[in-house]
Amino acid sequence: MKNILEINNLKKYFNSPAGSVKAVDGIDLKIKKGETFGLVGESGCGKSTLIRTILRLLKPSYGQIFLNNNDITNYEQSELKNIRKEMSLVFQDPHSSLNPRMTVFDTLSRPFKIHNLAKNKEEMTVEIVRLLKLMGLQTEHMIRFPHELSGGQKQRIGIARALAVEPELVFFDEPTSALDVSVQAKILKLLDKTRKEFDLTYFYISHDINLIRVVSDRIGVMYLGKMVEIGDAKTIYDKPKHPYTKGLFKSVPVPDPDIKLKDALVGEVPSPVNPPQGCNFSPRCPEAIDKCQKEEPKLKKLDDGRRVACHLF
Amino acid sequence: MAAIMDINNLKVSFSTEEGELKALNGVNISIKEGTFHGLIGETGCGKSVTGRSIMALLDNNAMIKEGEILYKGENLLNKTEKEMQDNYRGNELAMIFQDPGSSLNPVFTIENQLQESVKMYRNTSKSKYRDIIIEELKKVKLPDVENLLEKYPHQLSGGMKQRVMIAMMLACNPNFLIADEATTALDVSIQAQFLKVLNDLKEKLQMTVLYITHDLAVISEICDYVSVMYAGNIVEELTVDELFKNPVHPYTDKLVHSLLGPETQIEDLVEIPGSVPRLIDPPPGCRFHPRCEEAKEICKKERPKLKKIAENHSVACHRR
Amino acid sequence: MEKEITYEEIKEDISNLKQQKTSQLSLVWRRFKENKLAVFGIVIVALMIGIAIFAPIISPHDPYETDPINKLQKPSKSHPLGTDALGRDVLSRLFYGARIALSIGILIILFEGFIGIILGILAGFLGGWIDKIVMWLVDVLRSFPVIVLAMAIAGILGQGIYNVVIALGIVGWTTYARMVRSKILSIKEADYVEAGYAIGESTFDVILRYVIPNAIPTAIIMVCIMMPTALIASATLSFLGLGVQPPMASWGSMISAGRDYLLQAPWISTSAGIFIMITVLGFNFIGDGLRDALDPTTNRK
Repeated sequence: MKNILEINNLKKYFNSPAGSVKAVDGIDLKIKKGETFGLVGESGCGKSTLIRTILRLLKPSYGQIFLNNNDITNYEQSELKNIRKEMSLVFQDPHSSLNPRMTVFDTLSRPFKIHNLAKNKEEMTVEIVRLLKLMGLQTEHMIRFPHELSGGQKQRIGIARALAVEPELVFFDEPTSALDVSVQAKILKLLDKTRKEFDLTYFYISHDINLIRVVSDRIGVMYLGKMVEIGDAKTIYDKPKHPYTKGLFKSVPVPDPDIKLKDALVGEVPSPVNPPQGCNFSPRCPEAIDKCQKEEPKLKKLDDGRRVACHLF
Repeated sequence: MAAIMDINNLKVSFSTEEGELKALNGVNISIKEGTFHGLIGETGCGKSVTGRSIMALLDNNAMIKEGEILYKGENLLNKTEKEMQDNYRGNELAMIFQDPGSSLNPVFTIENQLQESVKMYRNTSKSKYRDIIIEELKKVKLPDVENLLEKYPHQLSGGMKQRVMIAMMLACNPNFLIADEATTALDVSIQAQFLKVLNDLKEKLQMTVLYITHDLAVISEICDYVSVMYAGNIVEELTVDELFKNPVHPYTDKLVHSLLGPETQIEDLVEIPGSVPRLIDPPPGCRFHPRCEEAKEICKKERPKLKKIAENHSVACHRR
Repeated sequence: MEKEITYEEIKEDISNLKQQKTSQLSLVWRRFKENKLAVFGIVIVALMIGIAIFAPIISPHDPYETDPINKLQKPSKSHPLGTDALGRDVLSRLFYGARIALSIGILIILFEGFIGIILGILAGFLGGWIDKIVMWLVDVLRSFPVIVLAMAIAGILGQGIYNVVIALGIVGWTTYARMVRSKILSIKEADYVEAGYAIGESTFDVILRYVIPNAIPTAIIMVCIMMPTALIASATLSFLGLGVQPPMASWGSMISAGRDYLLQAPWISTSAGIFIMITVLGFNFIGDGLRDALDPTTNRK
């Protein structure tokens, strides 16, 4: 199976009055075609910035991005248009991700018009209706404006838009965090069905560990711009090794009254302008040793196939 | 255990340009003293409106149509604004909200914010203020409290601001705290710390808490009892244990089974067909009937009342 | 897998929908209609526009015809609002004054609006040094009272209607620029703009299809809200002797001319003042109504 996406030492820094914000600080990643990759991390860890850099909505500060073996790191506007067909993004907030002045039909027709995906207007309309039905919506939703739709419906339009370009790789930025639990179930099942039907590769980012576990083949855990653990989802979920991963998993309340939170993470995430010396998790780490404050740990492969960035291994 | 608050048949509507929005359709909640009572429901079900009704903090277009809110035997709905301000808000009833950023006054230092509460509700001399403030801040496990006093809200993180909010509430020494989606905007690790603080306080102070949220996992973490709300009605009231082991109402059952737990697989996820009704024009009878597989004729005509089916377990359903 | 859909099958549904489709415009109009004050505003403004257009027909006298013997006459049958110091019919002058007021008002708005909206869009969308320069200009201009600055410019340019327009235009664009810029900034941050880029829209299309359609309501509302300001500003300049010169009839100069006779003949200044006030109110009502009608998300209570 070939790698649909490969990133090498990708960095994205922002300039702020307080200093350089190292939002993404050296990420290596390979995504296989057909897999679902889940990236988990709390706010400020850089996961949103990472996918936007990969999608070239932001320009990388350093490193390389390969999409289907093409180096897209330095693509300019004209070349970028083509990759917008191959990778797409579903946004977190359904209430702000649709243009309020465009009907559903207008929104969904843009991908066809930009990339010439239909021979004529009739064919495009058929395709749009097909997409709507695939999302569990009706033909009549075409004439609606976003404010006439519910959150769940809006999110489905956002997904339909991402699928309309006929991508190979779809990114999801917290796709259900703004939705109710009952709607979440519908969306997740829909996405699962769609992935199988169109042979897509999915890249989810979320702070919801349970969501990531349910949907992913492989997961990665990010902290302050760096990848601290990455590997097979079940392996990591059953037995997290990195102290941050362990703490994070233990901080998620379990919907079972007999299981209470124990050994949750302590402290707060430091500012990305001034990350700690050495391992940037060391100040909060219950298992930190001397080395942790001096030297930054690199990702190392363990026997079970996963990689961890920690001096304890 | 006695009930410190009884909400009986509360009906609240809002006048909007599209008509009357019938937000609360006869809400019944009984909260036992000293417990953490969860109020769970999805967006738009009316849980926030319920919390604000207790505090008399509803918007101008709100109309209280029927019902009573009995707190320690007194009906709060009969109190004037002045009575609520002087006698209830702060010292008896306190509320913390979702967004800690907008609840703190940006031009006051932390010490000043808390001073207000202490001055109003604790009868002590001015010299003791600082000590009380430090004590409250320590209760919520805020680090480096002495330095914190001079800081302004914008210098604190979201989690710390939320904890300052709790400290402010505690400084008032309330008997009844309403927390409205207090952790929704927080990161998982911050939420965990916040819940731990609440749990610790539960043991120390004899406070009753109405915890409003859409997150069932949080309810399982800190609550003893829970009322399940759907489209303006309480459909079930039960212990948290029963909620996860034996949910009776069709909606509660589906809700619990659409959760993502550590063992769930996508195939297991239960969908609820249809969507939440618009409360401008709610379905007649039981408001859940359009989405219920077991709905019968009576469900379309008559709203089911909450009836007791076991000790500490009531359900509002014609089919149960 | 669902069976393939053909266009034949859905053609009927589509044409039904086309009929149903409420254009945004009709939705806005419907909402606007429900606002009684806004409709009243339209009536007022329509009335004033009518007066301006039909002034020659409805005026009982020639506004320039002097009749010194009959100066400062009280309102009577032949002169419903009396006469001024030169014996001219006040009512006729008011009607002709509507022409000046409205046309200058529109000219000012167009001029200021054009400069302000374009600079606002550039500053908001491009940011960087363009933004800095524009904002600096805005700060500088706003640190002067508008009228004083306009007076200075009009003083330099000399008297005359067009100089009033230019003077106010040079000074008055700042409000438009600020409002448009801030609207553009908030649109730029919105997810749907990023979504546009993500599906491959070019920057040009993003501005055309995503940014501008969402900024138009703000621009329209601003025009309505600024009309009163423009009217009053031009009336003030006329009052001060700049701009419209006698014998032309403008409401501002009528107020000024009537000042000396406030005790003997209050109707001269007062009626002109009332006309200004009514017109301003009319535009205000329309502006408020538009603002409510155009934004579907305002939580109206």
